[in-house]
Amino acid sequence: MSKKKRFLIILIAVTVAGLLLTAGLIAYVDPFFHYHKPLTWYPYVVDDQVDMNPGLARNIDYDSVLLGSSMTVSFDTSRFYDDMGLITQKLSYNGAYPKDQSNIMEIIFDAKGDSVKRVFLGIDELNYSCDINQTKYPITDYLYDKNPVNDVKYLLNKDVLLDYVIRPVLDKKDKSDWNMIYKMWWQPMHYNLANVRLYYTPAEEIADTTPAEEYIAGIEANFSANIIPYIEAHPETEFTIFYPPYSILYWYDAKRQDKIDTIVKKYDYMTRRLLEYDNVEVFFFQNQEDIICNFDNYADHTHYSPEICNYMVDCMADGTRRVTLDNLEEELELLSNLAKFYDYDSIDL
Amino acid sequence: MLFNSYIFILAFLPICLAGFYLLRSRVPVAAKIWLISMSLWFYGYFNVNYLVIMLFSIGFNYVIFRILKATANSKRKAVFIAGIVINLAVLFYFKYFDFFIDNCNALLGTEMPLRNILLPLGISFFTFQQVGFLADTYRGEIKECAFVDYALFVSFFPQLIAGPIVNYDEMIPQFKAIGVKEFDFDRFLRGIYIFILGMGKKVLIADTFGGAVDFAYANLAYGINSTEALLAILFYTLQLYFDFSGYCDMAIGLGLLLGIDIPVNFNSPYKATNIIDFWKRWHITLSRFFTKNIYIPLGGNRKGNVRMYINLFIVFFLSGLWHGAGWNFILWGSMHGILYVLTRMYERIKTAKGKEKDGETFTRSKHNATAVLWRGISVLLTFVFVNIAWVFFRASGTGEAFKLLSEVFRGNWMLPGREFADYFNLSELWYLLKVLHLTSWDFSNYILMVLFLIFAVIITFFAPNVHEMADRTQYGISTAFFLAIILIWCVVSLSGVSTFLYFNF
Repeated sequence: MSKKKRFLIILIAVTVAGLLLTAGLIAYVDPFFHYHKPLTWYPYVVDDQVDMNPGLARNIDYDSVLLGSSMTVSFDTSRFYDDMGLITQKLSYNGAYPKDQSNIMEIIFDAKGDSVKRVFLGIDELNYSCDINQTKYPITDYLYDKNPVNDVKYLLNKDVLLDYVIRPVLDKKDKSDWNMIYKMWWQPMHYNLANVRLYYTPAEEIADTTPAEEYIAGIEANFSANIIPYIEAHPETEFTIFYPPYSILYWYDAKRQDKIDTIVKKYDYMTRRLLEYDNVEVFFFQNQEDIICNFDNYADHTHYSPEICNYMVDCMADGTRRVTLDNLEEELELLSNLAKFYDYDSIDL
Repeated sequence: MLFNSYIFILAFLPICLAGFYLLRSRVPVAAKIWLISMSLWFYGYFNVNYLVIMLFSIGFNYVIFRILKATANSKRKAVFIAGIVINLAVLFYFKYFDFFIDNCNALLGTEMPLRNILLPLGISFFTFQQVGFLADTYRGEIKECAFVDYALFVSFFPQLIAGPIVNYDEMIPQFKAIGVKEFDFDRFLRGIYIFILGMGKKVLIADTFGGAVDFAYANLAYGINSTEALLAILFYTLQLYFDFSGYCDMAIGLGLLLGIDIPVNFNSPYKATNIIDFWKRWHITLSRFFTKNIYIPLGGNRKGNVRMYINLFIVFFLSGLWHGAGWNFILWGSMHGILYVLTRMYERIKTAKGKEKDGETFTRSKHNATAVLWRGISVLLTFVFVNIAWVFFRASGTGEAFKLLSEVFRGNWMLPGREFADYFNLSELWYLLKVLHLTSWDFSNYILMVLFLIFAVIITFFAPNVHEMADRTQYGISTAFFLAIILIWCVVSLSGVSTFLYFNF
């Protein structure tokens, strides 16, 4: 064989072998769970919601899911099993918009169908008036669609290979606790007013003049496009919706911007709309003074501790803090009064 | 599609080569039609609507060509001018119409709406190529050209999107020889070599610098320190060279894979000792086009010195406008034009003085240390000027360019931010630092940025360019492994995992 032919053959052979090895390794470990269940022995690092949620939704065994924003990442999913016997998969998206929920519900129901017993969904009113197609981050097409051809972007991907296939083996301590995936970096010592102060600046004192109706129209559009269709299509699945309890500083901002009444109207609308369905129940934690006014429960002005998460799971298991059409008005009034008349000067900002 | 994409490397190129070499010696015309079809797929992959524009452009220009060939002398000029005007009108509409409206609105106080016209990729390149073809035809330099050869001349995918801008006489004879000439294995291997190294320049070097540059420009409004501003300017200069020359290397490599020589477009441009030298080394085929079709028709240097300087400036002004529809591009072109004219003036004076002294001073000092030092200083000064001018090229407008430059002079010298330096901390290289126990050092975050910079500067100023390397290579086993590793590294770098930080819910 001539020297030049040998050169060409080696070049092609090494390139093809290198690419096949990369693709093979990624497909075997499958760090984004795109093809199969996780390997039992592999120390997976689960930290990329946008890229991993679709695979988790498709290929993990579960009978219920926890959806929502970063308000849901501190939940310990084993609590759902302990309280309700549900194997719950956390599929949070930090900063989630309704379309993010719709995208993942599409995959969940496509993959699991009627086997999904409960969907736990945390709703942040602030994000529900946006454009119905808005997602927090661009979705990764090759992980969300079913086109096998564009999987090449996954299988021949340096970041996937180095950061998610090789690094976990080298740094085994980074292995994720499956029940606590996506959790915040905060430790128990970070839940106090001093930590909250680090992140918090009071909102500018400018009145929000947008009428409540305008926000509600946005919510209606988002509900109709991104949430309600799944509730209607899956009567066998129970949808447990909850409004996460932000700290009283959230309401301080609302007061400074003169929008407490607007927000209360939004909650009123959302709850009534959701309770039109038999397979929906709504839990309301926003007005619990003992939680939201105690900064030992918070690491910043909205994110609460794992203990509060546990408490919420307990409530969702036994029905405490459930809101119905009978007590809705009363609960909202309680919230409105707390937000309007709280002694904000007593907070040592 | 782009050369640096999965579809191109893993599907398009193997299919294209297989089809071409199957047909080449059996049915040469079919091989050409195959290449045209592949080129249309290549171009249409960006946007199918672009195809219509390009097909129209090819059809129209070929008709003008036929008419020019068939028309008597008296009417040829009118046909030629009509052809040029329509080509430029199409280019104007897609590229400059919004710029024109924007300026009208600013000058006249009107509120004409912008059209937000989508610029078809490569339109500047294929328009110029065809304008050059019509000009050659008008001058009588082109006797005959079959439609298939012409269509391939315009659509040939290796140089369709970003040049080099090729001439009729260097391409058509080669297209005519398809199937006639023997397969040249040396040339094929040279194509592989140049293509892979070009891709390495683009994907591994340029894109890494590009991340930090984009970060600096994106954060300009929020404040960056002087070090970051200075580095962003330098990094963009390096990015642009590695990007554009890397892309042209890929084009040339692809041409060679198909047995076609495409002219070299970059010849180590930052080694230039003055701006005239720079333009003999940077985007060579564009300078060639402007010289042939603008400078010489304007009179070149045949109408006196003043007229020559004006002609030179016009060329650079138009070059600025050709590069982009914005005042920043015009300013960029004008800066180069002014320095070019001044350098020409200086050279004329120097030559005149040199003649008086019989050129002794220069020749005598040519090989001594002083000459080397002067050469170094000349290269450095030219490089500094080019750096400053590129700011206007990269910025979204003149305001942003001046803002970046002013940040340098604010004197806010401090370490660049970690986020800025992180663009260089590629995982694969970070592991290397870990193995060497360097990651615990306070400044570990900056090691790779500094190494990248040193590496790029060495390559730019001291190393032979890709073509010179291809001349020397022996195609041994180690070269095969080296190229395979670069290619694999490039392919797996084409896609990444975006990391999105924190929450705000």
